[in-house]
Amino acid sequence: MRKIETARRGDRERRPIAVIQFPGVNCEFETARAVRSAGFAAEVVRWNRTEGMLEKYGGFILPGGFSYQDRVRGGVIASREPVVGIVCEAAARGMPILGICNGAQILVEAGLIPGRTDKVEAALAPNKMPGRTGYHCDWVFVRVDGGASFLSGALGEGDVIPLPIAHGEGRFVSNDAELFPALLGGGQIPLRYCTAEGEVSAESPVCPNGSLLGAAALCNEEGNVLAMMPHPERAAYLYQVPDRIGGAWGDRKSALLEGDASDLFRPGPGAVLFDAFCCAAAEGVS
Amino acid sequence: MSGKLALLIGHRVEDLAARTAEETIRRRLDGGEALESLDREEFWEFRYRTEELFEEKLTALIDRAELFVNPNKHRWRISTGGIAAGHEGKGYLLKVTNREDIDGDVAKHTLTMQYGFRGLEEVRYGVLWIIRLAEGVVGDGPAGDAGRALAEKIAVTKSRDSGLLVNPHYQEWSLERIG
Amino acid sequence: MIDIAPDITLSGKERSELIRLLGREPSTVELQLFDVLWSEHCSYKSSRPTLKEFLPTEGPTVLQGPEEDAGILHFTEWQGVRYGLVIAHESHNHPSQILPVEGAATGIGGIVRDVVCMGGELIGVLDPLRFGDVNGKRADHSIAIARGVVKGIAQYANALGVPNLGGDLFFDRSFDQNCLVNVVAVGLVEEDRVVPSAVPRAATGEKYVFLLVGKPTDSTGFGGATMASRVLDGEETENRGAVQVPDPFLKRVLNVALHDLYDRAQRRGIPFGCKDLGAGGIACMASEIADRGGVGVTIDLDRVPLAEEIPPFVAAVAETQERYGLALPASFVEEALALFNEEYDLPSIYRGARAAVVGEFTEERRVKILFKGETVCDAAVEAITTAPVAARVEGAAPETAVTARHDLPPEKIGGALLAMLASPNGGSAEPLFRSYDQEVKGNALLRPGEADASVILPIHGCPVGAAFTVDGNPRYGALDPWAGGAHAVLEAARNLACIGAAPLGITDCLNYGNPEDPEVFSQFRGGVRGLCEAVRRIGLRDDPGHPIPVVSGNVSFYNQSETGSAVAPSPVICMAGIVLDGANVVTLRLKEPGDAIFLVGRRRGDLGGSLYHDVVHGDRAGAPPRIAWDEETAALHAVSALVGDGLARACHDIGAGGMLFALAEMIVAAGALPAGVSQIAPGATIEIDRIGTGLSPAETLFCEAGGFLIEVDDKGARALCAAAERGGFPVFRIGEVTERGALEVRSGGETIVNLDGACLFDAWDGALRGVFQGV
Repeated sequence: MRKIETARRGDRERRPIAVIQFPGVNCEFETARAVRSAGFAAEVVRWNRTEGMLEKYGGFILPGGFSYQDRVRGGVIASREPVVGIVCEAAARGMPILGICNGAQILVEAGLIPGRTDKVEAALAPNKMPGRTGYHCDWVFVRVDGGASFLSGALGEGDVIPLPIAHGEGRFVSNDAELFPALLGGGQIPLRYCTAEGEVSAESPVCPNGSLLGAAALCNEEGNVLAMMPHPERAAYLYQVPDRIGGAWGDRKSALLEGDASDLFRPGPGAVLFDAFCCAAAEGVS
Repeated sequence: MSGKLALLIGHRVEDLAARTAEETIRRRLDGGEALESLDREEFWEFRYRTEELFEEKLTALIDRAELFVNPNKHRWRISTGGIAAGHEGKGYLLKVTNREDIDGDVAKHTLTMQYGFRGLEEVRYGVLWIIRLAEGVVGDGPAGDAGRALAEKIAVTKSRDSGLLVNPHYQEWSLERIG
Repeated sequence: MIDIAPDITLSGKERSELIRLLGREPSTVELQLFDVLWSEHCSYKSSRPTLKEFLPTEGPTVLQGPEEDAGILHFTEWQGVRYGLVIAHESHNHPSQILPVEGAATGIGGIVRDVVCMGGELIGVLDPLRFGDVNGKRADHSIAIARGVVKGIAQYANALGVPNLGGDLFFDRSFDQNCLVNVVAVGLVEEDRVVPSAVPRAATGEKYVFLLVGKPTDSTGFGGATMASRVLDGEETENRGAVQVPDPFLKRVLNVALHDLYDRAQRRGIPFGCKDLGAGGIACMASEIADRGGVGVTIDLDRVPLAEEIPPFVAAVAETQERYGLALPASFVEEALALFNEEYDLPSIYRGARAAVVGEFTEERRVKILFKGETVCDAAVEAITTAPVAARVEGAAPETAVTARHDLPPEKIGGALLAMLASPNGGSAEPLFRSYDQEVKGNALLRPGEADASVILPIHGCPVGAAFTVDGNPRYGALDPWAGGAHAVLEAARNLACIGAAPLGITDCLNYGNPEDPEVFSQFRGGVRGLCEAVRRIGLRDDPGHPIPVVSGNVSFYNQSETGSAVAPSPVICMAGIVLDGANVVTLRLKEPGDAIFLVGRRRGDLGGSLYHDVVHGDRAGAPPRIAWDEETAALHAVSALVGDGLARACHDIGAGGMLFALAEMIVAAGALPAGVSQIAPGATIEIDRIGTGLSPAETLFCEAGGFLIEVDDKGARALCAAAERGGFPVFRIGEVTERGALEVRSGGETIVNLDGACLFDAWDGALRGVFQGV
């Protein structure tokens, strides 16, 4: 937590965060809003405006949605755009990069995640759930094992947080059978689907998509690039949490509903991810 | 009676996925300049063992319901000679399926449980890309031919600047020469 | 490709009128244009006089009434800015019957345009749906349509990035051959930034041009309006071409770019107008925006970007999706073109999409359409925008039959409840909620399924919530058209009350059969009368004496089967409300063991048209519940105020299914947990003798007279009793919330129902899974 406080107090000269608007994404504005609530400036930047980006921004977020209409595969067309080349360069310089949902698909298709080589090493395959196919929107729980990622330190190890998901292709897979165990060992699976009590599972309904090892997010070895399927921007404020999910956050929401209007916009369970991201951006290029 | 047939679905109107893929390969990928054209068909393969007139029944269903084909957007044909049959000109057919074919499984379930198809053994869904390379690239040599290698390079995703149409981490593919 | 002009549907009299207006024989383009304009779908020729006669459209909450693409309701003021809610309602019934996925998707695509062209930022969609019987003899077909429609709505709205704020779902055999797919779109707009659908008055000074932006025009959707204005004849395949092809991806980019344009023009004080292209295409849109600005327009079809070669009469009126038209001053046009075509790069993300200048607005009040140098249409603006009226005959109102009440021995009540929960009309809509994006935009406070109405906080930092519900019970409409309208409004108002919202206004969609049939026309008139009586009797909570205004809506006629029997009269209401303090809303699930459960509203044994009669006895006859206006409206305003003041812990309205069904829902709602059902708790025990009705237990528990179940603590209980005293409506403390997750009903010193929560949950949760799982 200490790191975040430092970041919030950080100098005023720090560079804003770019939220990249590919054609067809649809979470860019609420994502930028969540960054601002974390105390950082954020700009929604069109995909075809690439000049001077590396110098201008302190971090990049690829928001959720349907870039290029999921033509060919979710995220793959956007991953070939020049702006993602800039994101790759930023990643190499150690700037924090966050891909959410469709943004996560882009980072995987760009080879930035898990990023052990410069090859595409994994995929986000169609959801696998008994009795249903395709798009699925619901709230899930994830357990935080920050590991190598910039979440480390900002979130407690083993913290359980509720977040919403909304995707049709969210199953992290690889044809290299050894990859995921290695990623787990290397602290590159910072979020895993779990029960409300924190028990990790790769099985439905706890894991909503059949992801290997119940992975909800992967990061690169350096930890500055994070690809996650859940939507933290939809859980950035307390009012967004449904009370039916129970647990500490459900109780907090229930208490809110007997409480005060000013509590509506207090940080929700997803806010801490933006805090951690902004904190990494404030630390600057390593 | 056992049999196998394929339903091939193309676009009446512009196939935006094919156009975008074509432009992305040409503009962004290694070797992309050799691409002459790229087209796409979706396919459903059906394997069955039944006394019913399977093809007639399927045709009637396609005409009636919006299950596989949107008549405003798609044209379709049924092929009993495999999905490669009926493609003209020179080039390569890239067949892409998902290793875990959930769409195919669900379609089998729906056809069996809801539309009363009997003896349906397997349904597979996939995409067929028709890759045509520029004049002079498609060599005539047997194995190791340069055209085939290039088609594979365009097709199979290896890195951000190599390959687009298949992600081998969850998809299976095969490449076949036509013409 | 269409190259021969199709048959037109204008009557002989209408054709003579057209010749009189033009002073000559119409050209092909003119014929096609007027065929669309004077269709029922566009002209409301059968319904307009009735709507004008009855509907209250003004009041303190109204910023914009029904004459625009969408209505606007005053919402709230925040940090010096006044905000309005833009709201519109549309049906896409016939297209969805023919091509469910595409038909429903274009329904969403069409209605959101109405909100965006008014300057509204899209904040939600709702989808009232009516499908055929999924257990009847056309079950396969009904299931395929239901699945397709839900898929179409999900595909379009999810990709567009607009959250689903609710809907309702009803299955009945009267919809076997004509489903109802109604769609509502809601937007938020700063009140001084509403975009007019008129060429600005400044047009008299500076030259204004007509900029068309979006998808290239093609022949898709040609004939859509006329299709909606007649009976489906069973030749569904032949009508497929009239269903448009949707593209939510292009729409998303287009909407973002359009808002960017609005913003630039408004910041610089440049007056402009915008209107979406729907029925009647380019010709219709340009005529209307010109007429409203008091000018004329000349359209050059050769400058319209086309996807394919099409004849002029198609280019002029085709309903190609994803297009908007703008009236811009000539000095601003270059910048607008650059914004769409270069900055947002429409041509390279969607082949053929672009912005283009296709005409100009003229002092001369005529609509001229040019094609290859020839004038193919030349008519006075008034001729185009003057809608005809079709006199329809109202038949005698049907006699309402009164049937016997079916009673049930107490030991069978539990089984009856489970059957109702497991029925398609009683079960959980969870499969839909998981298919729709409920979260995008991040404004959700209460999602569909969590409470009787959904609530969003559309202005960041502002605790004022916007609440929405859609309602309409076709079982009531079929028995008594008047009651169908009245109960739809009452149910909607009760739903808002449950979350503490005060009503702001209504957008309606009135679905009936063929208006040329006197019986059907009297159903329509009856429904409108019922609706209007209810909006006047209920009135605005915070502005007593004013009716709840109807600010937009839609009438859909010609909904019937091949044999000519009309759908159940189906007036569908979407009511918008305001929650002053978002921290006081409540969900419907029971919360604290030990809390009291109160019944608000008298039980009178009304079972006609009830879910209980339908499911348990197979009887759909009888009279819908009588309405005790004074008691019921007093109760709903008092409940709304009580919840709004933060004095309730849970609240659920009693409507279809009755009191026991409502209580069961308050228990099973706890089961819809993300990680699967671990346990259902808490539960409830009630003692029905405390109601003291003189009715049998079944009559008490399944009666559908309007009311509420409220969970309160001691303080809330005192407040509720005091409110009841003041308002003159009855309340009964019927039981309490229990630790054990079960439902227990006691009467005469005995337990007559004792059902485990998991058992209730399984029945309810499984009801629709089979219908919606599959391709």
